Amino acid sequence: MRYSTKKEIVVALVGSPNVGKSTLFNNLTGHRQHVGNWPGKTVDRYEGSLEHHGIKIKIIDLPGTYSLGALSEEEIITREFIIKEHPDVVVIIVNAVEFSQSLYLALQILELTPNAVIALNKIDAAEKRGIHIHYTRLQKILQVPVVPISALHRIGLHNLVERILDVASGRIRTKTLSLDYNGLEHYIKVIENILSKCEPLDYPRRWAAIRLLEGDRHLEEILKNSCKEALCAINEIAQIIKQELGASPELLSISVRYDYITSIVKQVLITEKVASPTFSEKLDKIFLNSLLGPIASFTILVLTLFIIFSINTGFPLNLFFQYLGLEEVATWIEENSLSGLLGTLFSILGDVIRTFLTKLNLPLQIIDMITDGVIAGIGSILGFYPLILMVYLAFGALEDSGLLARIAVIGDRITRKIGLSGKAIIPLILGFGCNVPSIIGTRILEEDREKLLANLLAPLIPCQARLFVMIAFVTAFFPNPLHQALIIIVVYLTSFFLLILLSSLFRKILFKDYMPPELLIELPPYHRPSLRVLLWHAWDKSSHFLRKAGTIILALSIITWFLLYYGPSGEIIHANESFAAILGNLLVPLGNLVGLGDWKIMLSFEAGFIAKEGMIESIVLATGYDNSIQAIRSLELTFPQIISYLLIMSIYTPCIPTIAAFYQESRKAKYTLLLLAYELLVALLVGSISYHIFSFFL
Amino acid sequence: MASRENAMKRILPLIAAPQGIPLRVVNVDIRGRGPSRRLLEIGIIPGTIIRIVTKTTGPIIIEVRGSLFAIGKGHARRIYVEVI
Repeated sequence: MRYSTKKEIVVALVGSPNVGKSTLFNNLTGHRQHVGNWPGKTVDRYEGSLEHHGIKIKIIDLPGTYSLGALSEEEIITREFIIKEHPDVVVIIVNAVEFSQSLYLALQILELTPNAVIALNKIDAAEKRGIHIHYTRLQKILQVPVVPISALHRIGLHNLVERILDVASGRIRTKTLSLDYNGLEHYIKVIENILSKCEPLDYPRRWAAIRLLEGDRHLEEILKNSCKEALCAINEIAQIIKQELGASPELLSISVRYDYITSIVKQVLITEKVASPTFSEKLDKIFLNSLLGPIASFTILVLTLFIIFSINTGFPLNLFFQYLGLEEVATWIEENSLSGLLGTLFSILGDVIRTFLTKLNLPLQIIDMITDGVIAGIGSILGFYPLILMVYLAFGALEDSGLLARIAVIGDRITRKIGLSGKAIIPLILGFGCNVPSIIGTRILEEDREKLLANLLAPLIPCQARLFVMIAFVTAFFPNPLHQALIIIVVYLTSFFLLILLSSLFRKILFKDYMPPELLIELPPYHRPSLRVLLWHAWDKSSHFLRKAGTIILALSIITWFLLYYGPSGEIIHANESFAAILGNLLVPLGNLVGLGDWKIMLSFEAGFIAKEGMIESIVLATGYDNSIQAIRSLELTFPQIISYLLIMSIYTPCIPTIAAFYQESRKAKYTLLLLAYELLVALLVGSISYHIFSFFL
Repeated sequence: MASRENAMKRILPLIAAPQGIPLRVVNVDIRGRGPSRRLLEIGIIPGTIIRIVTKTTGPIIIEVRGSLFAIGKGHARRIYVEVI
């Protein structure tokens, strides 16, 4: 009786991606939760709590995984937690709509621990599809409580918590699942015997024996250090099995599990034939069609980016109204866009704080540092926050609805050319909005090398901030909208070209015999996403990033502010006296290489290091004009110079938040430096080539 | 020799199998321990009945035990099926 003496119990949630695990987690814990990292891993660790009958229930949301085969970081975290942390109860979330598929993970968990409750999720959606599951019978077969729920509509959650407490207290007796592995049983016993002579493992012995037969890299690594003889013996046994039973041990063991699943399904599942094709089938006729699919996917992605961009900055929706001659509407949209509103908010906030500090009679330098440095720094962090949030929100909606998986299928053909599987299309497209979610998004990729490759390439995709600098420059120098558009297209095409070129270069230099991973992706049935759940996820992910990277970004913003506003003689009067200007002057010889030997331009590249939006601001500052278009015009750039500037701007070092994200994901300073170096080098090279070619012909 | 036997039993790789009709998995060629093991874990094992839903120009969409999966052509070459 653990529970009579315990006032707090630990519950772990386990389930595959798309099963509604985080929805259940959020609906159980409400807002009492906390996001962190698993030690030494890039996977997020969600922890929350609730109280029931005076008992505190701590809930750990384990990462989504399809099996416990130790093929991915997520799988290792999940099983290590269950084995080593001994949670009081493991809640296994099974998808009622895709019942047999999701039973596989459930069986693996039940083979590992008896303290389990099965939450049979999406029960409402299953009923609608004519799928009925006899859950009391399932309960009897598996010897653990089975609770039908709908995490999304909060059905059955009370019941689930009650059963969790029942198992934790021992009121319900549960059993570890012991499958009969037929022909393998003899060998399992032999391995158990071998393991008994080794240093004791942290894992249940029978379970470890089965896993080792199946070829478990993680366990083999442990044995290699602690009991090498056993490992050799086990490898031999695997060879014998192949010869005697005519199939690899893993094929046999997985078959045993699926045979068991088939027998369960026969006993508990009844499917009524739904006469008309389902909504999912109809939509798939479009999305999986080789002609309509790409068109539909492309339209959806463009529309998504259009909406994100417009809500964030008003562009390009404002252009539409300008075209119609409705200038006022266009201005209204810009002013009431998220970044417009934030900008106004921060300039008001800066003024209020300045007035307040002046009343306190603080020295002017300190007031300046607080208002122009700290407040503006926080402003610049929050300035890109809406974009990250929006990108997460929009793409969360695509993912939840099931559309994103279809887009990955269509994207596979394109991404394969740059050495990535179709899943990479998602993070790459995110990059057009903002490179930060793009880099974090590469977590969905399975192989480490694929992740690294995607991370190195993602910053080459021009984000919205870069598009903005392009627009400002073409507007300043070219009256003809057609010329404006052409130049922007050239910059984008150059970026795509570099993406292809550098991808093959990296694959040749960094990886030996690398093949893009084969696509294997589940296409979940379509469903309408819940806004509440989407907001949770988007908020969680984006604030988690801000908490981790915010300090670096703020610190660097303050340093840049200092460099821009201070010089050797203290606070500066004119922009050309600042440290940044001095540095800009030092960089002029470098600028000459690409036809841009002007300290004001070098200064703008320094500012663009923090955030690309800052480039225009710094030009305004350096030239002394208060209108950005006039300020850019005053640089008096020639056509080859403009092209060179825009290309370099788009290619060179991504902004600090992107670098912070890259470092967090790769956890290697070496690769972060490689990213910085290659982008700078390629930018200079491309800028120089384009400048000289255009100067020659024009 | 082996290929002739296969031909007689009308065993063919999934990539060459007809669309829309039930197919029985005969063999899955899992080389090494790479991601092709996932094929087994999602239930593509000898004896399972699967169906090709669509062949796009890239990946192939199959139905396995009531769920849809998209698998790359390389995977589809390693799954051997027979028409039933």
